[in-house]
Amino acid sequence: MLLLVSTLLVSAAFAQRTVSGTITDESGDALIGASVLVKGTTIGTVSDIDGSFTLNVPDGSNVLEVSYTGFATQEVTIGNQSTISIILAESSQLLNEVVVTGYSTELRRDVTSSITSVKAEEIEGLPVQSFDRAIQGKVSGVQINSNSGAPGGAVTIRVRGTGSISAGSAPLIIIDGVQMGTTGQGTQGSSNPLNAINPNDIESIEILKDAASASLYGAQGANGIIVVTTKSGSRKGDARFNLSYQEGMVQPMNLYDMMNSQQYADIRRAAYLNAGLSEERAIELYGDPTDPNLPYYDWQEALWRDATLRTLDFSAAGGGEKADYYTAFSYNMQEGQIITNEWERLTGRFNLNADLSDKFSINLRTSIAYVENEGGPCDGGFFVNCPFAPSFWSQPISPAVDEDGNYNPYPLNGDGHNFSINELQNAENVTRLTKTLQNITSLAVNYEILPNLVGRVSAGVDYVNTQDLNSRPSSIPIFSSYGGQLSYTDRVAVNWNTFSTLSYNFTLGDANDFTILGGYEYKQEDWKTFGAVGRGIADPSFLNLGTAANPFSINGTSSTNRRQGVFGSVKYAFNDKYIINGTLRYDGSSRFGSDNRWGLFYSGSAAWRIGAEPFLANAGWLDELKLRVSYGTTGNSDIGDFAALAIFGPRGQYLGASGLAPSKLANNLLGWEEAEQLDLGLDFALAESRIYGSIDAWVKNNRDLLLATQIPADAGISNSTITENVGRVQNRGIDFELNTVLVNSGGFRWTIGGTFSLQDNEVKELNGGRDTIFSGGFPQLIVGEPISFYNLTEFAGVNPANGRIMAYDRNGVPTYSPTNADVKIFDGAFADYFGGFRSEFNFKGFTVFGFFQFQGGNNIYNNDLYALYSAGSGSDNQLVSQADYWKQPGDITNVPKPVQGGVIEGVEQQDFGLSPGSTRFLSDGTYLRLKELKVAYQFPRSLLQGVGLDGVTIYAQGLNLLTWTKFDGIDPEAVGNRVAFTGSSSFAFPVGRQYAVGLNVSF
Amino acid sequence: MKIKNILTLSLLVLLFASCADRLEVSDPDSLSPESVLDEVGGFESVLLSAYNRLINFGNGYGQNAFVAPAIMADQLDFFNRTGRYETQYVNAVRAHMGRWGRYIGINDANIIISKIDRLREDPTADADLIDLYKGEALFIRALHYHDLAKVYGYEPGQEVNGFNLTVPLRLTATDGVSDAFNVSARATNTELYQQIESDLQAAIGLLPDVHPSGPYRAGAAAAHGLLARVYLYWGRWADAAAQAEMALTKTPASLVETKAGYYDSWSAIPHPESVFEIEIRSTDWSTVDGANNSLNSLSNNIYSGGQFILVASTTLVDVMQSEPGDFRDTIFRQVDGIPDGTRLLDKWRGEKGDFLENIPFMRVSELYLIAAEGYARSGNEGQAQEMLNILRTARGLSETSATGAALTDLILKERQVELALEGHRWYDLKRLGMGIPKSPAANVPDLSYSDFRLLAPLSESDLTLNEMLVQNPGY
Repeated sequence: MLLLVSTLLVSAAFAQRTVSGTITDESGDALIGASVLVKGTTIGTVSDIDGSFTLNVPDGSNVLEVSYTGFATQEVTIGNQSTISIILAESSQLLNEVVVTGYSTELRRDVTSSITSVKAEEIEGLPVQSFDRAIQGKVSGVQINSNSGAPGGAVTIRVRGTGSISAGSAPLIIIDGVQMGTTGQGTQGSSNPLNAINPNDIESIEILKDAASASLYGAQGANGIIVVTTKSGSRKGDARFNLSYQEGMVQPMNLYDMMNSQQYADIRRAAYLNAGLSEERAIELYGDPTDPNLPYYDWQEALWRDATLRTLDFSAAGGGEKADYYTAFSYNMQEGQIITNEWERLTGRFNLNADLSDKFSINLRTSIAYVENEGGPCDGGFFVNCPFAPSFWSQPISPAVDEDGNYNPYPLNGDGHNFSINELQNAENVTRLTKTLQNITSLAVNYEILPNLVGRVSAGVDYVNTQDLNSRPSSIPIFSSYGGQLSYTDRVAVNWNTFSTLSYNFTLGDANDFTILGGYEYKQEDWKTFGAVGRGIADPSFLNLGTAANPFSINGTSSTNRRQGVFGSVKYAFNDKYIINGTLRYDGSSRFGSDNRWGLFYSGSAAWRIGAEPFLANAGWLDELKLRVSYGTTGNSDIGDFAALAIFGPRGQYLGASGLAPSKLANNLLGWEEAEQLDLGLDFALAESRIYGSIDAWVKNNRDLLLATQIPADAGISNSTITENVGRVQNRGIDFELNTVLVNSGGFRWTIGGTFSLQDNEVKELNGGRDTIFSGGFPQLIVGEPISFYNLTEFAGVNPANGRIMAYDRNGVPTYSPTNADVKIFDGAFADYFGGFRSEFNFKGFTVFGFFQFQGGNNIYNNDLYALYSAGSGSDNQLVSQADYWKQPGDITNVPKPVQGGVIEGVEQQDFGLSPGSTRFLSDGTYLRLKELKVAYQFPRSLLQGVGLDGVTIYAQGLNLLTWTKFDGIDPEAVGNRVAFTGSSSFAFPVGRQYAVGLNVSF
Repeated sequence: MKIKNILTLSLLVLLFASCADRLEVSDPDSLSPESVLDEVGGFESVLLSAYNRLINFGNGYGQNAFVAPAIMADQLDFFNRTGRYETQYVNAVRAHMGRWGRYIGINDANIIISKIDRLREDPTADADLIDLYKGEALFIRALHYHDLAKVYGYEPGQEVNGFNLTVPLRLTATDGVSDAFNVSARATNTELYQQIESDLQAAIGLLPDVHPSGPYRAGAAAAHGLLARVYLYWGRWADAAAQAEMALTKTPASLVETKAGYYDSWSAIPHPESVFEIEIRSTDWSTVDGANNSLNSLSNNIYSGGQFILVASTTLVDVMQSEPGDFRDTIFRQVDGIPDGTRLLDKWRGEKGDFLENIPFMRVSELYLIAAEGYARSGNEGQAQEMLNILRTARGLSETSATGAALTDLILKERQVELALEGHRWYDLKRLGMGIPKSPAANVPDLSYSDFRLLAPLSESDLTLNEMLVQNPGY
């Protein structure tokens, strides 16, 4: 018997083989404790600290099942291999993913509303200053555009369309429970409150898109919520250190092609002659166009540059049984493409989760960021003392410096513009420095009163102090009359919020799962500024106010707003298949009229996990199929702090005594703008989660739209608008996200994915039975139209007979002198569709990643052309295209006859003397951009173990490498004023092309 | 342990939750209308703001009110072409003068006029101050309405095709939204002039001859002077002369009488001839307003960084030089390096430093000219010559004995030179139904009086908000 048994054992031993291997995640990090099971048996093991495993596989078994929490379970065919490298894909879509919804967390499979999550990997290591830039195109339904290409510059985020006009349309951003403020930023360059967070510290970003997820935030929820969670340490294992370094450059792209001196002198001479002025004078001022030796100066070359960028990140994370920590420091430097513009940031962070006792735990999140932004001369715009416009329009015949390198006066010789500012001197001599210190801290205390009954009190603060220093030294002629000027502004914004919640989770029977949450929240935002201006600065290099001979002026302002609310939600899940959720919030805001201060917001949502139904139990290809529906309301209180009050404010002085004047009328009835949203969604995961995604269709109605409507100017109120609730605007859209693993075999993995969003915007009704609301004499809102459109005259070309521009009048007949009645409306600045798609290859430590971003169906009014495309009617340099101006009868061209002053027969040739522009400067803003391209190599661990390293990755990456567009300006993305619905570029700071190489080391 | 925990938690909840009723906030930079207007001092603050608004560059005397009427007619040429005023120079359609913003100043005045009398029941309120402020407010309202009348309508008796509308009359304060939308149609020119007349007559009854603050605020002398100007536009010649005489009697200002004195008067603070002068201080301007917007920067080359775009037109130089010995030759300054007789008008010198100076709204020389014209056109040529000769003598010219058309032409020529770049030329031509001659360098035809461009277009914005408004002909 014994023999028999032993014989059997021996034969069994002969009938099995040993398989060993390693299990890593996609970035090559070892997965410790992953389970490896021989399929169909109970034979298995777990991976060790290096991610290695060894397993005896019985004969006849050929498949391993590898699983790890947070990763997609994978089946691996052994074949005749004895060592196998297994890469597990993180299951960001998958059912057990934790979704942070602000006041609480949920498992992905229980979510009944529309929430998109972005994980750390998608944003790490990008050479951008704030995370909003890093998620552009990566979240369906969320449109993100740079307002400015300045390093650290502002970004516009729109979650599911623009539903508000005078009230803000930006989503509420919550960082570790802290509701971020929007005030307190510096003004010496474009700046973004999210610069306070190093993107590399972020663990996940959740975008709450529908009313069901946002209504718990009541008054702030109408524009969606972005919940940012920073990283925590792990309670398993030793401290893990990570060091990364990146160095690169930023290049201007697609700048304007301007005239040379001869072309410029030629068009100026023509303009003088056509205005009846003397040719001698033109040649005296601008030179003889036939002279090949005219002086030439390339202003673009002088003011733009290839700039450098550098980042250094260090983090340490770890923990023990009762606590874990994450701490990180970073240095980030990026120069702008404009000379003297430089942005530098230091950040520090400490995150701690600790169990104080069995029942008590705390979560501390604190970060500090210090930013120095030498704004360079400014952040774009139609300004003479800002290099963007003058780098193009400055006269090519007027060099910035003489042979000795001294600044020339501007213009050296010629009709003046720019108020005698030599732009090179301005850029080099003016100081515009903003220093920002921002601290975001939250502390949450959790107490488990009973099992599953948890009380939580959280308080957070977002503190910003900015100091702006602006020096206008007397070395610049325009500032010399008062001996130069220093202005200093100190700004403090303290924005704090606190909430207390009580949540209870219980199960009735086996199948009825309840979660109840109740809470109270208070938020207060206070800001104040103090500034002083001194003149008569002894030396242009002095930057302290004390050096001013003349203490010129002081100024100071402050403001406050407060909000409080109570909220509650109930969630019920039956059998893990049917889930319903209801929320309620009652909110008050100090910003509204006393009669309308409080608002009630609610939502209901339900989900049906069809995939979990017995009738689909045999559909092995289907991992998840969930149908969601939600409906709810949210509010928008993002208006001026005192919009409802009648105001007499200080206004001017006379004979040294200050004046007072009414500045605004009261509107006691001002109330909440309310958004109601219906969302229908489907989440799916197929083929062992190799294909997964979601699709949502939604309709959002913003009722009682807040609009600053005009009052008749003869009422004599200087603020000629009053904020009122005017009507209803509807946004509709479809959000689609899809990710697939196309190939995953033999160590080769290829994934592609993308997002696509369709959107549509329409004013549905206006209060008081109106069908149009006017502003400035032209329609601002029209029932049946989107809230963004352009009022323009329709360009009808240049008459070949006489070189005059024409427009189609209201009857479609070309005319030289259209009137305001001939102004028509044209498609506006809102994109009809946008999104992004990516493709990633991994093979033996090599990664190639590409990401394209696009948007389309929007028009951009290119205001730059107002100056650069004016047929030489003024002293500005012109686009080379203007050389094709009308010269003689019969010439067919779009460039009219040059005339000094730009008036022919009493009609202004640039815009017909009408305030709306002409379609001449309107162009299609559709673009496709290769946003990211990255090649990385991760060294094999076997090579590193000898030197005590966990991982080393080297990479090269590029941003904004290629753009396809029909837009006739510099950059279709950074179009200033996009927020104002005008979508007009006015010498915005364009986005640059970036290249960087980097190194990551972990140990 | 457990009790301690619960206590701590409760404390925290209390701490953070005890924030009820915190939603009442007030704006630290603003006051409610009630708190401003319950004492005389509050009304004075509103009045000071109203004076300050006169310096506005776009619609007021800081720049446009002096430059536009000169360059849209025949008084200025360009030395430097920056685009500024180039469309007005050639009278492009809609390149005109915008004065609609003056209603803000009118509302300031209306607040005082319609509300200050309430304080008369308050025994602590100083009745003299109430009279003074109300009189000043009436003066300011009249000033604004006259400027609106000059730009948007024809003067009574000078209508083209009978078009006699000016601007809507607002005579009460805008307290709330319903007041704001309480709109009305455009008043006729006669209605508007009658209102201006009655405001100024009331002001004269309330004001001392000279304001305690001197020429910087309105006294009865300034109100008489403005009323004289209004009558002149109205064609009420004898009334114009009488009011000018009253103003001359009451104002302490007098003509400077030497060549050097005349030149220096433009650097004096206040101008010794000022009947009413608008004061400006450097804090009224943003950092670049001086270089960007000041009269000095646009018309003079004193400060580096100034624009110096405007010079006297050849027409104006010729008229000034048509009589020998004119002291005013000194302010037609030859510019270095540019021959061809190009001369800048050296009136705006920025004598307060950094492009800054006060703006004389009305000088005594204008009163002599109004009196002379009023007498001449009402058949009193002897007195007309007398008034005109006082001014001519003071300016180094010989006395005249011209009569008839020669006399009125000479008065107009005298206005052309004496009041150059002080906001008169376009209006003088228009009120007399004369059409607008253009400087040869502008290279555009003269405008006939019936040309629609003599009137400014109304604000498109208000046309859409007030359906009773009608646009001026031709726009």
